[in-house]
Amino acid sequence: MYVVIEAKELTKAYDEITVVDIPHLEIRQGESLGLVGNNGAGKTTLFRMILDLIEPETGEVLSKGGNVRTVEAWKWYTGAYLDESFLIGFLSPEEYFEFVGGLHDLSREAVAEALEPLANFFNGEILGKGKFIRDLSRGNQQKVGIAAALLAEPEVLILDEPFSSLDPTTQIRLKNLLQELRATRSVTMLISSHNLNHVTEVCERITVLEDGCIVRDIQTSDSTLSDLEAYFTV
Amino acid sequence: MTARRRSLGATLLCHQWRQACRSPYWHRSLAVKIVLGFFIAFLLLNLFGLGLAVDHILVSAFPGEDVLSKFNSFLLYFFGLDLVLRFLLQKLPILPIQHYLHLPIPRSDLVHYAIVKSTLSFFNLIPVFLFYPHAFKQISPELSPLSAVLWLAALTGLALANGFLASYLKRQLSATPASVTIAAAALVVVGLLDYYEVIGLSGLSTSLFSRFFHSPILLAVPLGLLVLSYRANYALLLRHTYVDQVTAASRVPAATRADALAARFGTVGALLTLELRLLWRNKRPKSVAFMSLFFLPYGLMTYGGDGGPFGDSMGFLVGVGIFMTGAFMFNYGQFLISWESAYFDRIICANISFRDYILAKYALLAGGCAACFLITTPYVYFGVHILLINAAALLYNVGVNSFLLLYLATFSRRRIDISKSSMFNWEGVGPAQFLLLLPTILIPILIYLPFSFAQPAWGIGALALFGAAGLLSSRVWIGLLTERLRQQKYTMAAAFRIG
Repeated sequence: MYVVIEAKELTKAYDEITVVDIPHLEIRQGESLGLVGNNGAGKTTLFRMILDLIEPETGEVLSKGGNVRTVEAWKWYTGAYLDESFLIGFLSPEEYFEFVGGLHDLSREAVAEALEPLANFFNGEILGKGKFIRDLSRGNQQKVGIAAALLAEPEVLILDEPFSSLDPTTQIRLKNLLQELRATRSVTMLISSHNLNHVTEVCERITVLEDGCIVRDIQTSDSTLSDLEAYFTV
Repeated sequence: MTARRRSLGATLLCHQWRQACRSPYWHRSLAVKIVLGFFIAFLLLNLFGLGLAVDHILVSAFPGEDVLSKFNSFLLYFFGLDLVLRFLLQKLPILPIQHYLHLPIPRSDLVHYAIVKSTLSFFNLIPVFLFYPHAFKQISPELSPLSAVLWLAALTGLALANGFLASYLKRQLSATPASVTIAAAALVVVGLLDYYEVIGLSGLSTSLFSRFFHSPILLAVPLGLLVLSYRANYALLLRHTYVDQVTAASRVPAATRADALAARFGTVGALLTLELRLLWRNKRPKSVAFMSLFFLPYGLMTYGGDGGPFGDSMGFLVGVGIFMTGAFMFNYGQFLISWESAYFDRIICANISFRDYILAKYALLAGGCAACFLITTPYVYFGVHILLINAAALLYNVGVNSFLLLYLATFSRRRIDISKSSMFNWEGVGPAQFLLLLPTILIPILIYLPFSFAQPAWGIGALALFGAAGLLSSRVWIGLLTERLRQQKYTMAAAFRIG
């Protein structure tokens, strides 16, 4: 399988404190990479550099071989949700999905169709409520953001802590949804999480980030969860 | 109890102070605050001067009339105007109540604090600087010190009551808009009746306020009004301190015509739809857009040409034309990109080409200019030349100024909370906002003047020509702006994220 995302000599520093320092990282097509690390390890910064939201100090991120900063093709095949700054508070969820879908040339009907498999994930709390996104609870806002990332059948999916603020039922449904996407459409995934259980179940490869550096990079096996637990027990 | 309450007030004040000076805006907009401070000090100084000199002014303006009665005759107008201005400009006594409701603090204390704090207002300083000098310089020697004190006490009470009344009405506006509209209409009717001398407000004003000189018992009236307005505010606020009301959710309007726009024009259409929703559904952009309507009657004051400082000077009319046809553009455009600061990350990593993004913003500004031009077409009543000037101004605004505003928008570095009201809201206001108005209005006048020395029509033609040239080369400008945005997006996004 070919390499979809590649980071080369990637560094980022704020006030001379290095927050990301990744000499080399490759994610192959269809691979699901789980990113774990304590607060401040640099997960979100890495994601933002992959999505061209911040400029790297040195190095570059390639998506299908093109630098994300200059070649913008990745925007068409990448779905991402990092935080609330991806949501537009004064729209209803439907309007937001239509906006994002419309950018991918999806008609209103196509958007509705794409949302059908997510009905279970929404648990009846998102669509047809007549509420603006800004008035939804945090968990429901998170659902809207994740659904928008999935909307246009992305080849690459990037999610920052997708399980946080979701209720237990929805966490399990999301986990199933992601596993299904991996199996049926072989979506390339990059997912960060503080929940070691979920991330080891969803991802076949786990990367541990500490102070901006990759300190572990392992293929998930039966012992991965206990290894990680041991690693994070200080 | 009182000691505890006072310490609560001090603590809350301290929190609010910290909130203000720890906000990232504090340092960045310090210059703005200092300028504003000087401006207010200057205004107060002027008021003080007016208060001292008012007897001379009245004597020379109305010779032979009693100065004290004449002064009193204006007071009813003063309080009327004061009420209107307070209603428009005064901030509501709001407190970030949510942070305190779960703590062992009586709800009533929080409300009292919020109301009492609202008296720390610029408007309450006006009577101090305007009336106190008059009272001590004129009333006290002419009548007696007691009369001066009584009169002052009455006026101070009325000013405070006016402040509370304005807050009350403003709060009711969101609850029962009809009642406030009726009150406003009544005020206008009374004003008109007075203007056409059906009723005599000034006479009424004199007889009302002159009574305060001699009768201490009458003080009960302003005091009663003060207590009444305070209690009304208190009751209203107390009812609205529950968290679910503080953050009242609004419902999505069912059908929207804007959707058709998105379908017809692809990404640019989708962005325009988004922008229109931003405009209609959020307090600050909405009130800023509405504010541009107040620019439009400007022509009424300047056309008609019976003098005025500039008379019928055509160069001045060019400025007026730019100002009016650009009303929406100048108001809304000063935060063109900052409006979207809360979801700017979404914009820059969605599959929206920056060219489309710029195009959508440009279309909005151009549409706004065209709408303002259409609204101002009735000014043709004052002469065809007005229409021609405004058409040239429209062309110039669309062809030159809109690109200038788009360029300035790429300098925005401040996050804006679009749900907050816009009156005296300095969030996101920086040097760029002040610099912006100068070239957009001065340059067209400078273009007009040299040509107009030959013939005014040439000047207007030159202005239109500049606009047309900008419009014809729009491809170049949009390309440059796209490149500029591409370079600036990281700095902007980082600044917007910090908040």
